Amino acid sequence: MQALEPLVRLWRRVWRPRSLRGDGWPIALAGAGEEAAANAAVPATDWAAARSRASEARARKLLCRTLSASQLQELQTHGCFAVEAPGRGRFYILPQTSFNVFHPQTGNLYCCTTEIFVPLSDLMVAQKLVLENDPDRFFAVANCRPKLFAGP
Amino acid sequence: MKTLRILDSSGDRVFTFDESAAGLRAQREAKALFTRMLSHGATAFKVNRGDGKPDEKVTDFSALENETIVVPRVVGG
Repeated sequence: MQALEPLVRLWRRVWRPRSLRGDGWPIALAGAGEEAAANAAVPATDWAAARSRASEARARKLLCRTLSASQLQELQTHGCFAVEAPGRGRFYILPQTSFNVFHPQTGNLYCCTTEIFVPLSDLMVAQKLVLENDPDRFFAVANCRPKLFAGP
Repeated sequence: MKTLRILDSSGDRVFTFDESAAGLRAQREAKALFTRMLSHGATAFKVNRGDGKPDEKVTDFSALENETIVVPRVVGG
């Protein structure tokens, strides 16, 4: 094994796994600058996570631009916000991906999501817009989990 | 300049267009996309309308204002 040590050291200096490059092939590192750049690159799984974070950040910006001032304050303070659905009352949109629309008067939780995947903040934007402006559509498709709380 | 935002996995896709002759092609593309999305069950809302106007559902491309968000079809979760 000791005989292989120089070879392993050389391999470590010269080659980097494909996940560090993202182009599917290992690369030869010529200079210290390139090596630093390669080391700064993220593995594929982290890249996916980074992309997911970027999407969520973009969606969060849109959410903040779409909310009214009072809703934005609620979001910043509590992480959720209230919406008024015409003829249906007040609902709270919670920051989770399923059963996140809460009706405090009944304790019911509703689950209504978009057909395609969108970041959480985009889902909250969608739910706000549909509840406030097209509640019949929301309640036509939403699944309801009745009475979350069995309190007094 | 009008903006059409379509919610998707990247956050949103943005299409901008205006009603000038130069922007005719962009407008045609935006209209085709808008019509296709709505025919697949998406819903569009006029947002950030200014002057305290509330958001509003919109189904007609010619009625779009400065900013519109297109929400893909919603389903029970």
